Order: sequence, then structure tokens, then C-alpha cells
Amino acid sequence: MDQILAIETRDLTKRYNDFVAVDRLNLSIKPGELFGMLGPNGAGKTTTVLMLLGLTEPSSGSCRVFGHDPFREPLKVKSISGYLAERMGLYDDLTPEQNLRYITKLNQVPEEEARKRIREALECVGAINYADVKVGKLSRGMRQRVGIAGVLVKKPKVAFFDEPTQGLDPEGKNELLDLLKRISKEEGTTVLLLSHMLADVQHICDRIGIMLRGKMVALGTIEELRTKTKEDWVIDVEAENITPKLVHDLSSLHGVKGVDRSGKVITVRSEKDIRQAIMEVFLHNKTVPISLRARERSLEEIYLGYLGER
Amino acid sequence: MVGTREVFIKELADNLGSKRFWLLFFIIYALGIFMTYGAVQNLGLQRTLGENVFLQLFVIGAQGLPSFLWVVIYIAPLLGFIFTFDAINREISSGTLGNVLSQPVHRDSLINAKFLAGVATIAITLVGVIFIEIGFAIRAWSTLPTLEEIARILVFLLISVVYLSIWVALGLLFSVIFRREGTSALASVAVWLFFSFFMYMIASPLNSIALLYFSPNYIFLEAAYVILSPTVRILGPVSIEKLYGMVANPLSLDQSLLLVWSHITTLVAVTFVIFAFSYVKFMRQEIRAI
Ligand SMILES: Nc1ncnc2c1ncn2[C@@H]1O[C@H](COP(=O)(O)OP(=O)(O)OP(=O)(O)O)[C@@H](O)[C@H]1O
Ligand SMILES: [Mg+2]
Repeated sequence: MDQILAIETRDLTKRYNDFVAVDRLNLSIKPGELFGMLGPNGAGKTTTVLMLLGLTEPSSGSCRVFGHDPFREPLKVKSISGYLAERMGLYDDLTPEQNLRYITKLNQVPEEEARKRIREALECVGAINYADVKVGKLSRGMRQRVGIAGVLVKKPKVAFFDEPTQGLDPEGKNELLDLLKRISKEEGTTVLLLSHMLADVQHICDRIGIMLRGKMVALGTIEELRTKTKEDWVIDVEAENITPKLVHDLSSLHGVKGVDRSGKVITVRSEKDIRQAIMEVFLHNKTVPISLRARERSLEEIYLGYLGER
Repeated sequence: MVGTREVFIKELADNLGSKRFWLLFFIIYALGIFMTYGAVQNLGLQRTLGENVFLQLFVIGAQGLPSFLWVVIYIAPLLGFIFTFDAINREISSGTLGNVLSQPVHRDSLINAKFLAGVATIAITLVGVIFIEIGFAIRAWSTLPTLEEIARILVFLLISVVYLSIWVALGLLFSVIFRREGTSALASVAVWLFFSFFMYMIASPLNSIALLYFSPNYIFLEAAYVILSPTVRILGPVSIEKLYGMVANPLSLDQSLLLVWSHITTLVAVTFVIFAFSYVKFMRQEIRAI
């Protein structure tokens, strides 16, 4: 493991007076990874990113971005990172084109190259038709796209997106997520995507971390998060003539964690796939289920499970 | 400093393109030209006695009207803080500060550039209005200013820029201290009113010149007056009106400068101290609006 990490934090902590916003966070993200950081409001996601960018000073611990300390070498870190803040940070009285131009100027991108990049970036996010309208007059979703273009023109090695899907319509949301996936895969950009919506991260992220009250409470690929939770199977059985004995028989099956009945549907939660055994119980009780459907615990349930943890 | 140039260019363009600038620019130019017109009529050409008419142009108004110097002392400070009173807090409340500071620029480049852009805006305005006035007088009198006059006008211009930089720095300080733009605007106006009017209301009944030396307005007034009036050779508890009556051999420019050297250094020091405060405060500021 002597490959240099894109992002590395060691016991990174941020305190605001007595309040601990980020609590001894340890995180390693490899170059090119698309990492989703999930967490409810106030979890400390934004604070973490601000520390990685050197915009907020850590109270203790340390962090590195491609080996650079954001406080010792702020310009190194800032020249390789792109950041889309929650509030986007565009100048309302400038056009998207002028906003992006200012960014390329601050990054010392040569004129010719800048013009090309600005065009490409605006095209990429589908905002090229609005290039000359003042940002203040654009809709929220359109501004969001321009904000993303502001990250793209930098061609960063690592990009931080703080709740980028806010205010986008479902179609725009999907386009954006595809775009993030694309820059991660095609350009090899390391992407850190912050969100409180599982739906945003589950389809595109290589790995997910769930943050809660300043701590990373779960970390891994979607599969890993799933297997870490013990109840894997949820089986819904619809049947007529449900007797108490039937329910009792089902609950005493090996591996069953719980049986709930509501109307004609019995829900069996178990550690493994026991559909066969369930059929046998039914036959034994001389009835036949109308339908039997196994579903995996949805990620939403897993996520909520973590959030519910005290 | 990395990024200072780029931020400076943007800020200056913003300033010069803003409505507030054109509003004040118009007021100052209208007042300036109006005063000069009065002064030109009033003064006539009296070169015969060796008078520096081109200097008097700025200190003497038409009958009963204030002079251009008055405009610089009392009105131009508005131009000083009108760009800076919301320079930082607006960037925080609109979220743009995080964006700019996540670009490869030093944090201090931003505040330095904003200060310099404010000063440059003032300098551009003053140079413009003074040139117009001189041109106006040249036409009216069909004579050219002497080298001595030109040199003194340049020094006057420089001192004015320093004096107005105090107001630039003050606006900047309030924009760092106060989170709301309305508050910092009010604070700037309050300080301006205080030094422009209330200070005299307090000092006059007490007959205290010493008190007036706490006012940058007054320090600048003396300095500018001495530079523009070569005949003034003493300062102190003598009112300017009395001084003006004194007839004496005029001082050379370097002698006049010597007389007000402490005034000039005071103005520079005040600017520096106010700016240093805002600088330090800004460097430790949270960039998020809470
Ligand atoms: N300057 C500050 N002073 C005091 N507390 C702060 C400050 N900045 C942030 N906090 C607190 O730190 C905690 C973490 O905030 P942070 O913005 O990092 O959360 P987040 O995970 O990004 O939440 P969200 O989803 O709402 O953006 C919050 O409870 C917030 O109130
Ligand atoms: Mg946040």
C-alpha cells in the first residue's frame, strides 16, 4: 500500500466550543474512487470537506489530499481540488460564462485553453444556452448545473460535491449522477459526493460511508453494508385461512427472526433464504399460499437502521 | 501574492460597473464642476501678484459656496466606503467566499485586492475630476498652471487618496465585523456623520482644536490646506480664517510638506491600523454563514 491516497484523514476532529462537529474521523479514499458520504443534516459532512480544503482549521488530527496538508500547502491542495458548495457560490450579477472565466483566471489557466474548457464544461452540464444570462436570473436547477461546470473547468484531481442534486428535477438528477460517474471513470477524478439521500449515492458510488454525529458509523461497498446487517431476507407470503398454528409453525423455523401478520400477508424475516421451508409448513397445514415473494432488505431500510442506532 | 491581481481586476471592474459608483461619480463630478465654475468666476485671473490661482481654484468657492476641498472632505468619503462596506459579508452571505477561497489564491490576497480596488476607484475618480477642473480653468483663463502648481496639485491628490483610503479601510473593517450588510452600512454612515458634523458640534462650544485632531477630516483639512496655500506658514490654535489673512512670503513645496508631514504620516498610519484590524479578523473568520 505505498500508492498515495487521494484523501486521508487521521483522527480528524472539529470542535465548535463544546460541540463536536467531526469526531476523530479516519477515512482513506483511493485515487479515482467515487465515494459517497451519507448522513443526516448536521452530521458533519460539510465540516469535513471544509477541513480537507483548508477552509476551516481542524481542532485536532490531520488530513491529506494527495499527500498535501491543506494547511501547510493550501495552494497545492486548492489547485488540484474542485469544490461545489451547498450554496454554489456563484456571483449573481455575472453570467455563467463570466463566473467560469473568473475561476479559470484564479487558476491561471491560459486564455485559449480557458475558452475551450468553459465551453466544454457548460455543454457538459447542459447550460450552454444560458451562458450569457445573469446567474441571478437562472432557475435553481440551472444554477446548480453552472456550479458543477465551475468544478469541471478546473479539471481537478479530486472533486467535492456538497449535495449537488438539491433542487434538480428527477431527470436532471439522473443526468448529474451519470455525469459524476463519467468524470470519475473517464477522467479518473476522485469524487467525494455528500448527500443525505441514499438514492443519490447507491447506484453510482464505489463505496459509501454513513456519517452520524461526527462519526463514520458504517463504511464499505453497497454489498458490504448489506451483509453487515444480520437480517438479510424478508419474505412476504399472501395466503387465505391463516391460522395461529400456521404463524406459530413459521416462527419456529430455523433462522427466522420474526413473523408479522397484517391481513392476508405474513412477513417473515430471516437470516437466509427459507422459501422452501415455508412452502413445506404451508403444505403441512393443508393450505397453499397465493403468492410468495422474497425481497432483500432495501438499502433505505439499512440506512434508516443506522440512523436509528443510538 | 498569488491571485491578488485577478481578484483586483474583478473587483475594480465590479466597482466601476456598479450603479452606486455612477451615482456618486455623478454627484461628485457635478459638485466639483459647479464649485470650479463658481471659483473661476469669483477668482478671475490675478497672476500679476504671483497668486497661485490654480491652487485657489480648489480651496476657494464662489460667494457663499463651499470649495472643492469641502467636497473631498465631506462627500468623497462616501465613495470610499460605498464599495467596501459589504465587500466581505456579502460574499459570506451569498456563499461566494467559499468558492473563491477554494481556488488557488491566498486568503489575504482577497482582502488586499478588495482594499486596493477601493483605493484605485477613488484615485481614478479624483484624477478625473481634478483634470476636468484644471482644463476648465485653463479654458476660462487662457493660461497654464505653473510647475509649482502642478506639483502641489499632485501632492494634494496623493494626500486625498490617503485620506479616502481611511474610509475604504473603515468600510472593509465593518464588512468583516458585521454579518449583515445593513448593519455595516449603518455603522459606516454613522462614523461618517460623526466626523463630518458631530465632531464640530462637540469641538466648537468647547473651543477645542485638540479634540479636532482626533478627526481624520480635520487632519486632512489642515494638510490639504497647507499644500494648496503656499502662504500658510504656521499651524496650531489659530483658525484657518485668520491664517488666510496673513501675508507672508510663500513657502516652497518642501517647506509646506515639512509643515504637514506629521499629518500625512498620521493619515497613513490610521489607514494602516484600520486595515490591519480587518485583515487579522478576516484571516480567522469562519467562511460559512450560520
Ligand atoms: N461556525 C459554527 N459554529 C458552531 N457550530 C457549527 C458551525 N459550523 C457548523 N456547526 C455545527 O456543526 C455541525 C455539523 O455541520 P455540517 O454543516 O458539517 O453538517 P452537514 O453534515 O453538512 O449537514 P447538512 O446536511 O445540513 O449540510 C452542525 O450541527 C452545525 O450546527
Ligand atoms: Mg452540509
